[in-house]
Amino acid sequence: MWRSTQTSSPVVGSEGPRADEIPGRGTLTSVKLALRNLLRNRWRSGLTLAAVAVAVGLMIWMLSLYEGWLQEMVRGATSVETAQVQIHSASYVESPRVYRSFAADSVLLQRILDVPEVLSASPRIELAGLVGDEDRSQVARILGVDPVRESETTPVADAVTAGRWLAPLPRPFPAAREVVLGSGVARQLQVGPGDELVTFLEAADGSLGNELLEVVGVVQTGNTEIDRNALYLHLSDAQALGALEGEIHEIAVRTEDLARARETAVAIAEAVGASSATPSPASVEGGLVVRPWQEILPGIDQMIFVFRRSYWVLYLLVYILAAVGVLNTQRMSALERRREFGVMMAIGMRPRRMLRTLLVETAVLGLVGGAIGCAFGTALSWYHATSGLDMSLLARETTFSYMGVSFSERLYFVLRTGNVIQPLAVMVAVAVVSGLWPAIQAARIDPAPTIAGRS
Amino acid sequence: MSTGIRASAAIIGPREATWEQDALVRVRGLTKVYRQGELEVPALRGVDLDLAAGEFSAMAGPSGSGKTTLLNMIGALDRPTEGWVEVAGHRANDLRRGEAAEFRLDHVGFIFQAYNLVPVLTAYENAEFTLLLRGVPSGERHRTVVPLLERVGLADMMNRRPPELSGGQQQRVAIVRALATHPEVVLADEPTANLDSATSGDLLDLMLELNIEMGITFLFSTHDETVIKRARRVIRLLDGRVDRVEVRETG
Amino acid sequence: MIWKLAWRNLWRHRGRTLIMGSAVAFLYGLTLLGLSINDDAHGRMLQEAIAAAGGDVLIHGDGYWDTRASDRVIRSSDSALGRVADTEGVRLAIPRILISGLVSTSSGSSSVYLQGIRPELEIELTDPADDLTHGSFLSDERTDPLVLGSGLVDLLELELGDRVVLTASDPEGELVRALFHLTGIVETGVRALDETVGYTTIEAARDAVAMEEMLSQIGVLAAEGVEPGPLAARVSAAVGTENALEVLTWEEAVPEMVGFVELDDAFGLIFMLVLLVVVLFSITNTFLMAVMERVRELGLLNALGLRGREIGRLLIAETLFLTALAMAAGLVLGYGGHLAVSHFGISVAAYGLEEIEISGVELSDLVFYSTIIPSRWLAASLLVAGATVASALYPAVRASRLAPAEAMRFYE
Repeated sequence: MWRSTQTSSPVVGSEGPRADEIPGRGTLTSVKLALRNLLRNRWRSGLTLAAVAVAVGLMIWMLSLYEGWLQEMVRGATSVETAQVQIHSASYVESPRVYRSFAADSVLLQRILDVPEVLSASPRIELAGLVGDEDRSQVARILGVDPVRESETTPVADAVTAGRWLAPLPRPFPAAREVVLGSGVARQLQVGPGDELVTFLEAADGSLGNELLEVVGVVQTGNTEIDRNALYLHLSDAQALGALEGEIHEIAVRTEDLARARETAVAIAEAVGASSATPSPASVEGGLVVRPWQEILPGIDQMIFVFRRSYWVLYLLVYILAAVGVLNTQRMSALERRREFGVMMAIGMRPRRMLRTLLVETAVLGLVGGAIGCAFGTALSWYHATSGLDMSLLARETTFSYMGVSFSERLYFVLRTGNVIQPLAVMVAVAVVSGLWPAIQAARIDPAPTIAGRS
Repeated sequence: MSTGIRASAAIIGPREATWEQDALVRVRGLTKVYRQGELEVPALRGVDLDLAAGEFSAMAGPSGSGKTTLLNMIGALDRPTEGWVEVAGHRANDLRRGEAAEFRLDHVGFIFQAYNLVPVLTAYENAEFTLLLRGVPSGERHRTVVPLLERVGLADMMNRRPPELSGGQQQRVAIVRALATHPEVVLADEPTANLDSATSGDLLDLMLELNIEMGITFLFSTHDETVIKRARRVIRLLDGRVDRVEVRETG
Repeated sequence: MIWKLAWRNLWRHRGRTLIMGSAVAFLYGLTLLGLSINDDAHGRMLQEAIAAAGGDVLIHGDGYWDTRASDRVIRSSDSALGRVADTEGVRLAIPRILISGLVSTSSGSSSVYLQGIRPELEIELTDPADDLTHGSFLSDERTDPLVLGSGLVDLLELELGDRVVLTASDPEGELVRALFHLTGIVETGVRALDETVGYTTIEAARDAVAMEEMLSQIGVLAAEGVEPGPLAARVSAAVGTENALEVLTWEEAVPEMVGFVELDDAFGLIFMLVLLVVVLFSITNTFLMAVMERVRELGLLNALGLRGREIGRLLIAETLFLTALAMAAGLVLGYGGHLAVSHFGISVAAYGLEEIEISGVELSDLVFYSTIIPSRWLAASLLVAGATVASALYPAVRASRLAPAEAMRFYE
């Protein structure tokens, strides 16, 4: 029986290929071995998997929470007020004065709209003035807009809570001018649709502007700057009020991708022959400047930067604790299996392969635990992304503003693929690193005394 | 039964000069001193030994006589303080850890007392483990290991894991694992220590048969009479020296 | 006996003690530090909120705070001020005129939030003169002094001594214009504030908007140890109902800030609890392993006559020692961290973030420091200690039920 086998099987000798030299082969078995070893002590592996899973799940949930927070902030800050890109005259950027306007040129507007990533653009005038009635008055930010273009560019028309948005065309004189108020201004003046107001302001030529207004609507946008101060008015009415016939202060541009606002700003600047950077004082000579929202609202941009930096602090805290768990398990496991390791090395397993086998084991631990964590972390985050997190469970008062953006009751998470994969990948790396010490110790075992039970 | 036992007639004492020219295992002036804190404990005090291919020999002696130490030196599991060991022309001493592992994989088969097997692997997987370490493809591993497992009477138990096997069956798996790579020599350190005498006898008979059928060289360290009875040559160790060597005819 | 054995066991298995202990120590230390940094930040946020609101308790004309309407004022203010000042628990009552209007010069106009104040009283809450960069803070002899934020000064291209016209509404709804002279410039570091803030004397403000005998706000500072809630009730009783006034605690005045701090605290708590779970899993695991690893030893103790319950007690004793040691180390870590952070501070400004607006309160000087609130540290300590000991319960129970023979089998 033996002889026949011997003749049929090629001679296995020292000249045969080494397992270490055959890619994939050894690892495949290592994975199998790792899984079996992990199944060997279910309690131990189960608890460690749970710790790893909770850590990964927590990270995914926290990252989605923060991203949701950031997105809310960016959207709240940009959608209504700044849009994604704005165009001003260079001197207006330097210091906004009523008279630092530029011509509302339809060719210019068309050129902007022709830039591929631009969805819409809204020319605006901005004036500071008092509005009020016979009882009281308030300071307001008077925004002259083209109602159609503005509602295409920002969701302001959807934010109307009482009355309606401005009609496409201004009323014929001498009727009172149509205005839409921010909810805060309306509350402070205690007016609503149908009420009349008077505005008073200083025009671009230094004269005093004065106009009779009628409130047609109230908006609540979630942007505190708009809600507390804004008064929307037809562009042509605002031009008349501010003695700025044919002139505008800014063009707000809505683009396809918020995240690519910088690139789009450059493209627009090229299309209209403007500067795309914040001007230095020396270059302020007139001309136009195109700026993405990140430059208009540097505070928000920095906030995002700081938040994203702080993710690594989170990783550090959460994963160090998980790593201690993995380290512990692997150390215990290695101690328990010393004899077994001794035998394996005595029959010819190289220390390097021993090390690799054990590292594969920790990687599997991290991967399986991480995958479980991914599953429930993603599920929970997805739930909070679609249904929102009810913040009133956590605090009595949940209406507050943060960086000029109103938050209320529900916070919608943002679940990104990267924020699911990254916690998993980092966990596998952390697991392997924390398994390194026990694995090195195991690979250093001296087989003879270990088998004899002398160590 | 045709495999010759060329060294069977030689009586090799510690100082005799009639060396076998083509000895498979050669041990010369082997000394090992263990340190226990301040204390120096000599385990071997200058051992010379030759082993020819096809031998079925036992090293016997009381505890502390140096049997296991000598066996470990031959299997490159331990480094001598002085002297050298050669197996089939390959030096077994002064190897680095990785080289030593490779040396064992290529030239030596091991059978230990107990808990010899990897508990999470089946009998078959344990048996093929050394071939796996060598990178032998799975079809070939199968062709080598299955007949051997059948030969040792474990045909029905290939998929059992060690806890489901008796001590004797476990040792049979260890034998197959040791033989699978066609080593020059199989070193067995008290392979019967945890077995009852009937099982021990069966196991040794099996090894003797394999020795005769396949010409595999066996070297035991033991103080079990069942082993000594079957050995064709018994090397008696005492206090780290070869005390005497007995050669007998066994059947 | 059991205690001595437990103590020695702890030192015999040093590696395990170290790993387990370090996890607890690390978590505990971080929790303490995180708590005190958060508490410090929240304390400062609320302090800023009190300063921004104007006092611990605020008195206005009814409905003023919500609408900021120029006609909702405190009439017959002298008697109200007197009665408030005499109320028990009131340290100081600060009168203010608050005007929301336009400031204009030849180069344009801009909105302003002008406060008519008594500087010598404001110092007791927060000293606005601290931010003065040019000129003087309402201290010269002029009857129409004006201090403006630096942003506003730039916007209007003003210089010290320039004439500035204020346009605002008086309590009767009439638009009034008044002339001021720029005497000082303040810079708070918060852009939104610097572009709107203005100060004048209470007399000049009253002149400007025809508010003689009237006030917009009385800011009440509580005496040491007096809670705003009860104080507001007493003040409310003192001013009576005939004047139609509203009395608010600062928490009612800036509920959003209080809500934000609560929410932030809640997220912190969730984070900490989940981390605690992660640590508990590894601690339970380690204890369980410790039991299994020492099954033979425990079996020996059992054979020597130690009963199962006592073995369980031995493990609990070990846990108590371990927890105590680890928490001592964690306390050192947490307190050391606290000292370091409260001394050096962690600056967010280094990343370019200079100000945060939360619920209308502008926070600048974004450097995190650390403040210990003993009750919060105590609560965290009890939580960590309780959880750690609880995590050893199952392994201890398991060990106490382990018969030696079964133990051996389990081990292999």
